[in-house]
Amino acid sequence: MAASSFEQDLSAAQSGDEVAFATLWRNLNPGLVRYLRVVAKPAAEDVASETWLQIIRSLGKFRGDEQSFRAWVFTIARNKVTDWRRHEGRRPTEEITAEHFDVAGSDDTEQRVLDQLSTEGALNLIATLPLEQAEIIMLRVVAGLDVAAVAKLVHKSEGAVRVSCHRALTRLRDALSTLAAGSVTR
Amino acid sequence: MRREVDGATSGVGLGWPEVSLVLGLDELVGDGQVNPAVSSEWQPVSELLQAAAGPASAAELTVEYAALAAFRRAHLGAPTRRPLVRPRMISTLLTGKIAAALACAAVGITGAAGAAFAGVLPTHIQNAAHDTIGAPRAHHDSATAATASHSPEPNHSPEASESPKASESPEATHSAKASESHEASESEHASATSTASLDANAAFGLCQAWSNADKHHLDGLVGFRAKLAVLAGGVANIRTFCASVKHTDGDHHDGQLPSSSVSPTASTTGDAHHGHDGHGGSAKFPVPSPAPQVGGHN
Repeated sequence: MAASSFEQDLSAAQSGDEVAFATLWRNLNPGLVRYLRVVAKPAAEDVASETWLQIIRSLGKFRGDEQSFRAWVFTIARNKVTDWRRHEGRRPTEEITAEHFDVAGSDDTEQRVLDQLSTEGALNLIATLPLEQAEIIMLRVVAGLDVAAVAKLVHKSEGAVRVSCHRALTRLRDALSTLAAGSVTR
Repeated sequence: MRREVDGATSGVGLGWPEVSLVLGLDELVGDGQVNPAVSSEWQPVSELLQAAAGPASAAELTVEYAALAAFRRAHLGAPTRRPLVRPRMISTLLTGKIAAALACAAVGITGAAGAAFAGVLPTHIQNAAHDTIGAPRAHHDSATAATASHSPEPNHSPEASESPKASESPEATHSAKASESHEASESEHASATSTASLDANAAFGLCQAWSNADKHHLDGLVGFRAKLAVLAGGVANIRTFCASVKHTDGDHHDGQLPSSSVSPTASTTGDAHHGHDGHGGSAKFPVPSPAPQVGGHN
């Protein structure tokens, strides 16, 4: 059976192939940085750099498929976030406001909210969730990890992860409804 | 970007009681498309999640070069223990600081040497410079100009004795106006002789410092370059001027000629020394002569 593209890239990168490593980096770094912008916003770039340095140092020892590799990468990132938070304090929480979307009132405000929902605005809104919920949403949606991997990563049961995920989705739905209603009445 | 979501959480009623009321994550994020099956109530959430997992922006890929550089270093065996971007900045800053420090040190040392050879340092420092780098020994009097005031001239002009730079001071001008009298003439002569000797020493010191700076291509940085240019009559003349400047040895401020065994430059200092005893006649610089031997002082 022929090796998958990921397996080929991983093997080549472990042998020092820069092009293969660049492919892995391009596939993972955007999601990694977005995750870090939600859970460690002020230090997202620095923590991402620390994470990649650790990945580079340990790449030769990794064994597993793509899902395992993703989980491994985000586990390293989460450990770096823990180190950073230990020194910098907890992530502050924010209230959800229309400024997260920069939406002006109009007759069709809800549609305008959706039209202007950029990646930046979406991350800002997710970042207003409680940290645990925000992290789980990012790991599930942006990092692309399954429930089992997320549960292992955040040291919770799969059931707890599902509950947190659902609560987060409900909060986001309510926030978007409130946002749209508030924009209409402005 | 990969957004594969575990099917165990997708759909209605898959072991997630609360989600039985809504759609699962698979339906909400789909494959980059809004699922038509998503109710209007959850459609905004679906779009939000898809936006969060949208395509990579250029800004998110800009530091690829830094990651590749770290990867390259790691496979070359070099340590990679710092954040990806910072090492370049730090090395740049350190390089600049080290270069600036070396330049300042070079200029400082050259300037100090210039001051030592000019004989303008405090007595104990001047003597130390004499012992270490061969600069002239400090005079016992507080000012070199005192040599003129101590000369046996009964009608010595106080204005001239107080001004080492007699030719530049109003007092000297006043003395020059009184040159018709014999006393005034002698006073002016003593003053001019003293000034000439001092300036010869100063010029010699400045030339020594300039020579050292020139060797290290720092002549454009030294602060006394402008002064030396004035003495030489222009920057272009500094080299020729310095080649003609002789050193008057401060060791023999008592008016006696140095013996030829004192140093290899004894003949040069001896020539210049005539000015100190007040009987040397003409000023001691610029007098065309072989370039001073810096090594003779070391």
